[in-house]
Amino acid sequence: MVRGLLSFSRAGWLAALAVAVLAPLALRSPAHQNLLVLTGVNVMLVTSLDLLTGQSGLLSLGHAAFWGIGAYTSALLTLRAGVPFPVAVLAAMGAAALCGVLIGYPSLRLRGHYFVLVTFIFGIIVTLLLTSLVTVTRGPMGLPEIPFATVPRFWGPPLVLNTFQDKVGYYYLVLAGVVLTLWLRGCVVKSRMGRALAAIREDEDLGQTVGIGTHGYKMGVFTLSTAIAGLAGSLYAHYTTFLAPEIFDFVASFDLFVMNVVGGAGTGAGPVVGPVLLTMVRDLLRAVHPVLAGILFGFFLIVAIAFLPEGLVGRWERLMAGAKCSAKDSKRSVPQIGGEGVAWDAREGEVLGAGGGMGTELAAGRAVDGSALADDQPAHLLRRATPILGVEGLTRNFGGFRAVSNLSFQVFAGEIVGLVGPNGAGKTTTFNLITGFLRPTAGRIWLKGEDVTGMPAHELARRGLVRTFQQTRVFSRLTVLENLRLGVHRHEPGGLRRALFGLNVEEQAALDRRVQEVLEFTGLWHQRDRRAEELPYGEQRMLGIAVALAVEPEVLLLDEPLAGMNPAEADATMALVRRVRDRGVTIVLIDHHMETLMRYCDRLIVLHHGEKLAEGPPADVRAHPQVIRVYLGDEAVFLR
Amino acid sequence: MDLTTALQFAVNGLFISAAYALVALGLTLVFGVLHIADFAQGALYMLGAYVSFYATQRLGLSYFVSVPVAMGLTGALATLNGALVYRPLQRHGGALTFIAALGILLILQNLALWLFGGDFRLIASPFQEGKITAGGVVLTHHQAFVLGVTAVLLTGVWFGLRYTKPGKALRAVAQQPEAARLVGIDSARLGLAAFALAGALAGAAGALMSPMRAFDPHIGAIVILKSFAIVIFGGMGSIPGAIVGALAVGMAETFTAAYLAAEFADLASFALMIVVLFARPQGLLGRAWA
Repeated sequence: MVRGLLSFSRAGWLAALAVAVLAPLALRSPAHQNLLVLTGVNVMLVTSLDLLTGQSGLLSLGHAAFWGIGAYTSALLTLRAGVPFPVAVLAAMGAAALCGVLIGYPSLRLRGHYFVLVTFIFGIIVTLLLTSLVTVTRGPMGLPEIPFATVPRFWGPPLVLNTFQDKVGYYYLVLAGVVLTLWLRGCVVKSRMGRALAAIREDEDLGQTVGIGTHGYKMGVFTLSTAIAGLAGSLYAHYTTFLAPEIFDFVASFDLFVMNVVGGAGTGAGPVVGPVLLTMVRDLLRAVHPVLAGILFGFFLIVAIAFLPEGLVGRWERLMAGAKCSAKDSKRSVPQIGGEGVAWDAREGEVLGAGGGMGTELAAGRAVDGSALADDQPAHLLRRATPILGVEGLTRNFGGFRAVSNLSFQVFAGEIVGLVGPNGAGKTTTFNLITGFLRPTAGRIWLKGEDVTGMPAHELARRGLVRTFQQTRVFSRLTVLENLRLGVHRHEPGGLRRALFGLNVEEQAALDRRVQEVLEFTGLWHQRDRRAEELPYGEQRMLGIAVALAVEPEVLLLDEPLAGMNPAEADATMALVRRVRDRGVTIVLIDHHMETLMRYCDRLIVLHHGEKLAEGPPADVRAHPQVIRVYLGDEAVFLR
Repeated sequence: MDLTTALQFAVNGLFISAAYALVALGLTLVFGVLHIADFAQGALYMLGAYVSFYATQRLGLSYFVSVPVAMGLTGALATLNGALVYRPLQRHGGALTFIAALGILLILQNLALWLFGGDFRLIASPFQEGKITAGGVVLTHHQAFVLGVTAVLLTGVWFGLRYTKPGKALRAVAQQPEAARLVGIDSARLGLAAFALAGALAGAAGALMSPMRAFDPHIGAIVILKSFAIVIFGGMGSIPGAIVGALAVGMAETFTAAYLAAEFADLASFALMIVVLFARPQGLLGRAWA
């Protein structure tokens, strides 16, 4: 998130800018100045790529294709249609972004490696098209004599150099592009959108649960990224004045990716350091031996990946942050650009957290609840007549297996309802169906009188239905505060002005208040600046609930909130759940702690083999003969 | 557009498919077991062709000897890759190993450029101009030989995976790596075996095609991209998928070149791939994976 930009301070950026501005004065040979221009183009490309890989966790291996689309669009328009340069630049950005939308819309819906595959293949197809459409692009012969970049006279005072024919003049034009790109990235990263992208990178399901429409954000960032690539293409075309398809082939995409990884994906200065360094290194190697350069470059790359997976800047930041990060961290920081990070973290989290205990805060807070509870009772009893959530004939088949079968029940406002049943009874499937993670085979779901069957999770979150997950799921690499900032995402005002210039003071204060309130309520305020993965197990689980609470749900679905807790911890958590209910939130929860559920739930719904076996107040369910026989076994242990 | 011409194209398509099937089989095998898209195999195809070239032209070996020699060398090189590069990188996850694979491809390609030069090569087929003609459709003896060897190799791999102990273990690792470890299967060693097999298949394809298709150090990249298209088409990790995909891509390519234009031949296979990706993301015969 913001961590990268802060670590490379404002002074550092200004110093870098000063170096960049003065560089052509020091490097007077045309070869060096040529290198400066190309480095600038690479910085733009890698920065735009980093918006995908580093910020959003989307791997694109076809980025050079968008660069090529921009370059060819701009070149052909000026060459064949005599379009002025500024218009051609805009057209290049538009063309690249349009292709981004066309490719992104279908592929960003799918998870996993599909996006990598689609971008990779798209890159190959673009190169092949540029090669085979000989009548338009002159194919493998290349496109020569592209006009220099000229700006019409009416732009700016007449004294301004308006043909960028010399390398230094052009370098400053490219530098302007670089500064614009970096500024835009800074705005995105710090904005509401940037936080949504971090959520997508860390855990997309959880992001949807807190009301983030992830597909829209992914489309947005991909469009922006491809538009910047198109801009870089246009600047490149009118500089080299010659284009050939192989400049933009999959090896070029691969090079950009390498620059991103070596610099440090998702770090503040990485997308600048990587291309600057590697463009120079490659040039030096080429000067030694052109073929050797290819071999050594590939070799360096593999060594870099093996020993420096977090990139140069990532490593530097870690060294600066001190030696507190152990080997575990270095392993964790990698999957940021891989795909499998989430699964690993979840698995490890469980192992690591097994020994942790609940904070004493919770246990202490519990004594207070008891009395608060008694006072509030009448208020929520009054509201109990209103059904807030209902399912009707809900059915879900997995192949031939019927996980949930013709299930109907209602939940009334202000209730705490426990969904219980043996393992495999269909409890979590029911939650997944209600919260839009699975589509029902048959049946309807109602929320506040509205049919919400098949509605995606983020839409449901906006309507006040929020869930937690069975495994501990938090944005583990983000701090507790950042987690909560994602929780209040749907309450944060958006818009272009705020994206570019930030929130105003009142808006910021309102958000901060919400966050602080939830953190104090859940007893996590003192941990606010720690990364979620550093918290003990119990607090990580509490953070999961806190994030859900920050969304301000009307109905909260908790999937095994007591898993892995001892009876005291479970009691403390349930006391908190009851306090949440007393604030007007209706609660449905799954758990196996029967004793605890009996004490805290208003009603229990018992599932068995996907069907409803019994429903009613705990005392009735406890006495239900079917339940005793099927669920608790013939011996009815707890009747003792 | 008479039937005989179409049949002739089908035969040519089948022949091209054979080479693709071998490379794609190796690719899908390694992906199935280790979840690595091993693009370095493209370079092994290229090296297979060069081994065959140098063995026959410079060392005067028989072409029939050069094919197994190429398989042995490329298989060994693939094992080396697996042990020295992929295994240390594996803990970093799929994306970085994929990048490393591309890195190896580029290193080997540049090494070949350095050692062998950039000229196109073609070696003489031991069958010279011999051909079988049936109803106007021509099948050269070399094509028949390649089809035969491919059939033997594919059957051998299929049989080995189905009935031999290491083959079964490989399939077990592909399906349930953790469970396979629990029952005592050494998945690291099997991974190397998968690399060796895949490398040998790629080398065989390169050596088999070297008298038919002119090659230079860049051919590896083209071949592996096509094979990747095939693997995606058929479903990553699916062996029947790789064979069906090879047929589809080989045919699409031949018929596009014949009836549309030669320069659209490559485009056809990748267009096919992207259509499949959008319509059926897990591939034709693949299981859903994410």
